[in-house]
Amino acid sequence: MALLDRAAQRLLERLHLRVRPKAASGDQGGHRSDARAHGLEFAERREYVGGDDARKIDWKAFARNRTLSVRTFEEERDARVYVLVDVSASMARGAPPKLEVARQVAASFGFLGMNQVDRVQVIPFADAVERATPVLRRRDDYPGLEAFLQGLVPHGATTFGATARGFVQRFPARGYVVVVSDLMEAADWAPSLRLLAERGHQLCLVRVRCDEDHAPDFHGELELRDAETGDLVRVTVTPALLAAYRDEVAAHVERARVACQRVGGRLIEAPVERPFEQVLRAVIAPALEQR
Amino acid sequence: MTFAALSTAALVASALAAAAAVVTLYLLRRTPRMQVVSNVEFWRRAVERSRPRALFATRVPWLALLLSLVIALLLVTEMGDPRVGTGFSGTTVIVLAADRTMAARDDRGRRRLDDALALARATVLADTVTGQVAVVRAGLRPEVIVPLTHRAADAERALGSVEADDGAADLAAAVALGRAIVHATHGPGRVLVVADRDDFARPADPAVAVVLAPVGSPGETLAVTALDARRDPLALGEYHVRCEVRSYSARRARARLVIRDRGTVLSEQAITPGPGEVITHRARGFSSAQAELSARLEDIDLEGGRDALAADDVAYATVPPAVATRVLLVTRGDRYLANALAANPSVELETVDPLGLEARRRTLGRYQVVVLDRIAPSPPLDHPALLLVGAVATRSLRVGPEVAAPRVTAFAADHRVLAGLRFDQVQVSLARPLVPEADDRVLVRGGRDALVIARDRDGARTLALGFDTEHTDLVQRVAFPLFMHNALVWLDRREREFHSWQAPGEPIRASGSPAVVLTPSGAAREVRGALYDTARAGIYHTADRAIAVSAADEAGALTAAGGSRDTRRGAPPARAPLSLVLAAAILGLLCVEWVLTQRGRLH
Repeated sequence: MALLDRAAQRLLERLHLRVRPKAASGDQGGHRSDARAHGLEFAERREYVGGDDARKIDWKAFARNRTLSVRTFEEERDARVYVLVDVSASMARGAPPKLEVARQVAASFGFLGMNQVDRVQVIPFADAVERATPVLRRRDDYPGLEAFLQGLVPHGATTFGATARGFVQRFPARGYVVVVSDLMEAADWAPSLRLLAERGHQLCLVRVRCDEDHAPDFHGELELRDAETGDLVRVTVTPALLAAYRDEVAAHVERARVACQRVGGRLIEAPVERPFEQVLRAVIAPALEQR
Repeated sequence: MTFAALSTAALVASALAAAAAVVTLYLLRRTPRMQVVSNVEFWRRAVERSRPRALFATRVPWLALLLSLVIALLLVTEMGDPRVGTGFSGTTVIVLAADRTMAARDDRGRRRLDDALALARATVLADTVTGQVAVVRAGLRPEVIVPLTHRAADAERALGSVEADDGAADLAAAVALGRAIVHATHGPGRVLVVADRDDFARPADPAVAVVLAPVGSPGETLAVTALDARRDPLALGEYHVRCEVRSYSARRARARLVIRDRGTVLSEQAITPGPGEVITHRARGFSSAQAELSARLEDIDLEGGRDALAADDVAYATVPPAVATRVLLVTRGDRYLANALAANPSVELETVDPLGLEARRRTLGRYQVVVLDRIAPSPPLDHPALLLVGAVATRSLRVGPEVAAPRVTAFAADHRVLAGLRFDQVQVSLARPLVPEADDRVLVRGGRDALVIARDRDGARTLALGFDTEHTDLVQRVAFPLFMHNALVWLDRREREFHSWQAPGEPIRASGSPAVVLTPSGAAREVRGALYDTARAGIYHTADRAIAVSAADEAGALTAAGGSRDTRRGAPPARAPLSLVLAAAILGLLCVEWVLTQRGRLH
């Protein structure tokens, strides 16, 4: 079954993945960059200073104002879109499984990137970065992306810190980094997010969540087993414990959201219980730029 | 302390079972279920945050278990019906009168039986603590309804279903049964008679004291003391009714006496008997193939008093269907016999001479009775009902030499053949005494000579007279037709048809095996041979007849037993519903635990 149906693809075709200039690469492409003078799109007019290319002097303006000014142009460059997909064992939880929604989210961002001729790479991770897809640039590459995503199997435990360090080493080029994860690692994600931002990446954190993680409805005597590590914890679930758990998870997610916002990124929530088309329209699309 | 409801072994077993159940439930409740989650670290942190601080809270599950155990054991103890106290040390046999007068009500409308049951229950509760108790129900027949037991609950169950019979109780037999039970224990004991009368024999037996616990108070009643119905011997198909009502009241009474045949009112009469007065009501001219009669007193007014006993306000009787008796008279000529038989409207008479008898040997089965007048057929007749007048010696009947003018010295007035007759004035001028055999009944004796014998052997009845009609003045007396009638009734085995009712407790015989008898309440009872449970008055029905069971002749004044009432005890005070309290305590405890759990005080 295709990860994105035609309706989703039509919706994505109307969206634009806006990459900040700092996160764009050195090759010419579809994104504005901070580089001036060699582009085709007019950017601004400024006073001439010595050393400016005399060919850029705006003689019509000189005729009107009697002051020398030069016209500058923005250079449009392509972007790299990195989609980091959490494939830890906890992603198998939920109904439907969180990994299924994560595949659709990753496919959406990949489709979006390829649609605007960006360099898209999907990188699975659990406790480290795993084998990534080759650079995908054209719409023709989308079937390969779907096949890659369908082949992902949940395993291992999430270690986002190690993942981030490995990512910045293996992928030095700046880009738009989409992290698709359930965030169900208790360690603080803020340092890792800052590391990515410091390397010039633009961040978008997509939290795929299920009710079991977000607002569990457990009661009575339970022996909880960690889906990733197999650790056991025996608890008597009470409303107070449930409230404390929800507070813990909410605080963890809030820390990640704040960290994300501080580096100019954003956190998007994608609940698995909602149909993905709704998630796409109500959550992901508003966060992206309409064409 | 003793336990009335459970034995010690049963109590221990129950306690162990209850404890096991409580612990099992606790363990089941505390046994965790496996639940896979995405990450347990968040749960660890949440547990750490919500961990209860109070020692009390951390120990609540254990405290709840302990309290549940204690309360469960208390419940079991309560189920065992613990008793603390003193009663009679030994065996107590309670003889509980359950006859018709025990249904009499006092001014508050409370039955004597209710008082007796309350007294019996109090005695059981007290005496099972220190001894054992048995209960004998003194109804029409004494019966042990509670064998010796230490458990009050057994007696309680049996006492709950005791009802009064419509007949009179044989208290003496019940007391004797009670004494026998006490004797069988070889220990100290007593018989406590709970009754409304004390007219029973109390043998002087130092080993077993017989104590009367009287119940009831004297009451006034208007009673139907007799109801009989008879077919009119002079009018075939008709019958007449005689009903007797008696007032056992010191006031003038008013009532309506209504006689019905299966719901159809035959007679209705207002009566006003004075104190102690007996009113006899006769009605005749009723015509029916058969009748099921009831005489009932309605709208009884005792000038402000109340009729204490409803059971004696009604009596029952039946009139069986008229059945003709076919009689074959074999004689050489006897006008007395022929006329006496012909005068009976229920007899179809055929008279033949000895030669005619020979012609009818093959068809003798058509006749219910064969009368042989001074004839000894050869070979002897094989018939189940033979009346031999002027008996002649045969192989089965020996006859002595002639005796002149034997004087009647004795007669069996209780036999059905001589019912209502006196033979002491009967003259016999010549007789040939009969030689009775072992199972023959001599009905009329003249000195040592048997003048009339009745034989009932191997399903055949024979009535033999040692004299003939020519040598006695019996035939000239008005009693002769009645004697002949009685003889035919006895020979044809129709005695029972001439009883219009029978007393409660007498069995009702039913043909067929099994046979079905419908009781007055309409219930069908399957019986073999006879129905013995006829304690209820009313009309019973078998496949071929209706039988009235009536206790009218047992009606009497509603007196009360005399003597000291010191032994009387009131009904036991209502016990606090401890079981309910304990159950509520368990429920409350569970609720508290639940609330604490829900509030996160536990973990």
